[in-house]
Parts: sequence; structure tokens; C-alpha cells
Amino acid sequence: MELYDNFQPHLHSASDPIPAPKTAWIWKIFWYLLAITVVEVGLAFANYELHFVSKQVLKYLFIGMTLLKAYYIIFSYMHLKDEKKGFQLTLGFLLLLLIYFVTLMMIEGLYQENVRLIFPSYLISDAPAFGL
Amino acid sequence: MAHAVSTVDAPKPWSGGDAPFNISWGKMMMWFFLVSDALTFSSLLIYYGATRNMNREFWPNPDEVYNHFPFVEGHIPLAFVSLMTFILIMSSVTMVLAVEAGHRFDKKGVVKWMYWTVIGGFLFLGSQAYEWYHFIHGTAEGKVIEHGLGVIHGANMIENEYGPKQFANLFFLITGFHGSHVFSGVLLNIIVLIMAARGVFHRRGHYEMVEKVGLYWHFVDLVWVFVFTFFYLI
Repeated sequence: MELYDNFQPHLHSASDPIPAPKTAWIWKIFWYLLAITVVEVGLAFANYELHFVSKQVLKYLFIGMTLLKAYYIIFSYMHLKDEKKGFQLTLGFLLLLLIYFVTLMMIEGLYQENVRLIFPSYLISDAPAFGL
Repeated sequence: MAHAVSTVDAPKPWSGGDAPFNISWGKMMMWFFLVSDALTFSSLLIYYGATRNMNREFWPNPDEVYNHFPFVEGHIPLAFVSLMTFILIMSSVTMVLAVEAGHRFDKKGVVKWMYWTVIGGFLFLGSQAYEWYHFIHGTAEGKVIEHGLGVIHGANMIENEYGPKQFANLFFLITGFHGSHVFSGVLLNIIVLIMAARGVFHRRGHYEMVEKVGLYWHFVDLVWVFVFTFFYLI
């Protein structure tokens, strides 16, 4: 392991005094995450009871709020914001592939639905157990 | 550029023997593992989205499928999964607190917060077992099959009362895959908890192992955030 361990974390010794905890930022992010989740669930529940807005609009709102939560978890709780820019970009490259993949597969799904509607016997194993 | 005379002998950050990203080997490899695991989960969730687009008119409304709560009669949509989300966020917070205590070389703090993280993990696993139980057993009414073949209650891999076959199959696959991640995460947390309590990291001089396990645990929380949105909210 010596070969790879050129980087060592800051070493402490047992006689060092323990500094006081600094946890304010952790709880701040926690309240953000909780608030976003409460808003999400509240919107979904209110819309289930009252149907005040179309599900399509809510869907994009939910995805936006989910990405916001993901940002807080990755950058604060996983400490990615403390890493070097190059490392952040190395990991962030994944996001480009995913955007492409999501777009592609949503279009593919809608196309397959058309195929199924035009040729009901096609994809018969995908038909629900009831109906069709 | 008067100083840039002999650039040949100057050490370059990428020529080896250095850590250009200023991050240790183990932590970086944990990040790379998480990236590959994120790709696996993404493909599963993306396939879920495509299948849902394929069967839009049959796809059940999640508010009407997952609407049970322990010790409560009747139907409350979303309540139980919201509780599960809260449990996982909470155990994520205790994990960050453990990592923070590790940075301060505070053994007691690490042990305390790792303990609560393990408790949170077990609570989440129990909740998921409850969720699966009700999904598999279904409602008392069930769903009558049109061709007079009888009544379906709940779900299995072949048929289910809620909607298309893939609805139940993807539920089992994705929440099951996530649950297995939570399970292995709890095991890792327990190992690190025991090692921390026995003073292994104290003798080593740093608590980086807590950070590595913390990264994995936050990733599990992150995946649940997405599963929660795509399975239960939308």
C-alpha cells in the first residue's frame, strides 16, 4: 500500500485537545432538505385531494426539487465542494451522459407506446394481466 | 517569464509520485465506485421511465398503491414513504456529524453518531420490509381479471393487481437493489463503529475510514431521494 499512499490525511496524536464541534452548517442543510421534502409531499398530497394543477406541471417541479436536494447532499454532505475543481469536473462528466440517456429513453418509450397502440399483438407480454 | 528557464526538471503534478487532486487513493476510488453505481441506478430508473411512457394509460397512480400506515385504519397516501425519507435523511445527518467528529479526532463523538446512523439504517430496512409486505399482499378487494380467471391480490413477478407487469417487477428490482445497498451500508457502518469503538482509527491517527463509509451512506440516501420522486411522487 505504501506505493499509493503518497497522500496522507492530516494526522492527529492522542494528546491533542479536541476542538469544539462546528455543526451549524450540517443542521442548516438538514433544514433545507427537510423543507424541500415537506413542500414536495405537501404539493403531491394537496393535488391528490384537490387536483388544482396538472400532474405534468407537478412532475417537472418534483424533478427540479429532487435535483436541488441531490445538489445539497453531494456538495455539502459528501464534501464535494471542498475537492478540487478538476475532480468535480471528472465526476460531473457523468451528468452529460445521463441527460443524453434520459432524453433518448423517454422518446423511445413514447415511440414504443405508439407501436403498441397500432399493433396490439406486438409486445403482448408487456400487456397488463388485466384488460388487453 | 524569467523564471521559466529549466522547466524540464520542474516536478509536474501528473508525472507521478504526487496526488494532483489532493485526495487520498481510497477516497478517490470510493468516489469512482459511486459513479459507476450511480450509472447502474440511473439505467434502472431510466428504464422505469421509458416503460412508464410505454404504458401510460395503464400505469397506476402511486398515491393509490402505497397508502397504508402502521397502526392506522384507512388510506393515507404518501405518509409512510415520507417517514422513510425522513429516517434516511436523519441518518445521513448523523453520518455527517460522525465525519465531523472524526475530523476533530473526537472518538466519543464518532462512536455516538455512528451508533445513531446504524439505528437509522435498521429503521429504514424495517420500513422497507413493511412496504414490501403490503405491496405483495395487496388489498382485500384485489383486481378482478376480465376473462373470468379470478381475482388477483397484491403482486408477484408474473401478475399484480395494480397495473402492468413491469410496474411490480421494477418496484421489486429497484427498491430491492436500493434495499440491498442499504443493507450492505449498515454492515459497513457496524464494522466502522466497532473499529472506532476499539480505537483502531485513534491509533492510526486519522478517521478517514469514517469519511469513506460516509460517502457510501450518503450515496444510498441520494439514490433514495430519486427513487422517492420517481416511484412515489410522480
